[in-house]
Amino acid sequence: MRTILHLDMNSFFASVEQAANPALQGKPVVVGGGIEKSSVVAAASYEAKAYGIKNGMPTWEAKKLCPNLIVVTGDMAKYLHTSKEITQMLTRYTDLVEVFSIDEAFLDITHTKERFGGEIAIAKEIKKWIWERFHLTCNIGIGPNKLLAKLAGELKKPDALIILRPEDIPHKIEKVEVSKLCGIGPKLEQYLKEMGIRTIGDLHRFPREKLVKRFGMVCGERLFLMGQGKDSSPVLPYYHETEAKSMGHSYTLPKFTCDPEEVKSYLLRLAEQVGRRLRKEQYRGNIIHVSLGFGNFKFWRKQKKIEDYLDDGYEIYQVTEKLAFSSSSPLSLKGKPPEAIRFLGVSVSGLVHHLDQISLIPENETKKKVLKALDEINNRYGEFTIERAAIMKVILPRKTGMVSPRSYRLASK
Amino acid sequence: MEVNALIKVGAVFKGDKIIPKWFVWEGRKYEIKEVNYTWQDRQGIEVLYHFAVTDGINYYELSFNNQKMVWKLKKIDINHDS
Repeated sequence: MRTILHLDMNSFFASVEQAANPALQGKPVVVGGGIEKSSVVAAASYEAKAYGIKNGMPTWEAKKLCPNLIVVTGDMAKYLHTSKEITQMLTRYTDLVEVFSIDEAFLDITHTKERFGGEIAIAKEIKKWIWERFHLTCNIGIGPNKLLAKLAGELKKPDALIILRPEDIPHKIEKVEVSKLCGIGPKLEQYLKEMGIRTIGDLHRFPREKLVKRFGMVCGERLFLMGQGKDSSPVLPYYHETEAKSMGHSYTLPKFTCDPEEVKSYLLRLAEQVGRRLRKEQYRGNIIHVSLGFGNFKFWRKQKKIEDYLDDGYEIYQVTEKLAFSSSSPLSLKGKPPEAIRFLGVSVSGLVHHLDQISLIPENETKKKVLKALDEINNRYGEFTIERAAIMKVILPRKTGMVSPRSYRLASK
Repeated sequence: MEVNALIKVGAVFKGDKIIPKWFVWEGRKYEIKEVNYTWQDRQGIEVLYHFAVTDGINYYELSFNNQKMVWKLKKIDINHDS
């Protein structure tokens, strides 16, 4: 039987801010994006959660619930560094450490636990180290697989250490909502509810055939196994390379705009950032996507598959510009005033790795050399040290919410 | 409050750790009572060492640039409770 440990930092971003500034301790704090009117709660402290404040809620709404709320502008560098240092410490116990997100990790300690006095001793040591180094608390769940280890960590918060053993299934988690199981999102939860499945106990007793009939062989079987507390998925170590499927950047504008020039400037900056990331990771892609967001969370998206595989931000921009101002776009619907937008996103998919063909067109080779020189300058002196004059007027602040998994993983072995 | 000013700092380099002890900003010396949080960041090849510190009254964020060998006072958080 395997021994899997799941670590989940408690209210990570908000707790880091409270540790860095003890004047915030014991107070309702949220970490936001920095743009007062449009920011959303990226993380809330436990004191803020007590007011019903949830992650993803607009900051103004959170302030309505708690007028004394302290909104702190997020500092991603602080969170990334903390996450990396914690992951580095976890590798003392096993090399099978899967960085699941910036504040979550799985450890497979099946073959190494005895060296450290067993799984409970390891969990206690990890909690102690994190507290002494950062003054942060975490939840640790231990189980025979990833599903139960993660579920164990969800059962009580904060600062808990919980073990789920196969013999605890289902009685110990009989009344726990199915949504607590990793992989059951709001939609699936709703479908299960319609079938009378609300708790893990309900799922445990539900006939396999009925699940397969409703959700198909793959998903139905998986749900049945989840109800039995079974999961054979391996812990994918941090040095396990996964191929990227797409790369993108998005930005919520400080205010609504329908000025085409402003939209173009943002598109160009986002496309340049995407190009830079593609080149850094040695990818090129041939499907270009653009997303536009309007009021009331309304979105318009369009993509185009092109012949060439691109990693040059300007070439990516040229495609996104055509898409964003195409005849079907809300930005240029004939006979109607353009709709004001609030959100822009650019991404590239259809990625291939290490595709670097020498072009027969000398101009393309020159362009490649220029990009290489620009990348070298930015690698040495920092991002945006040198960039196109056209985008200097639009600056995108560092985001607080989602970050690329590649930014918090450790370097490969 | 963002400050971003160059400052004079007295620090102890102990093993692989940097421990700031005091800093002078606009002619006034501040004794550091506690280092609450430390983290690092990169700007190209430059490594920035960040320190969230307190003088017992207010909270400050200092940073040390290992290439330029300069210290900056990045931010001040006035403690309204004190």
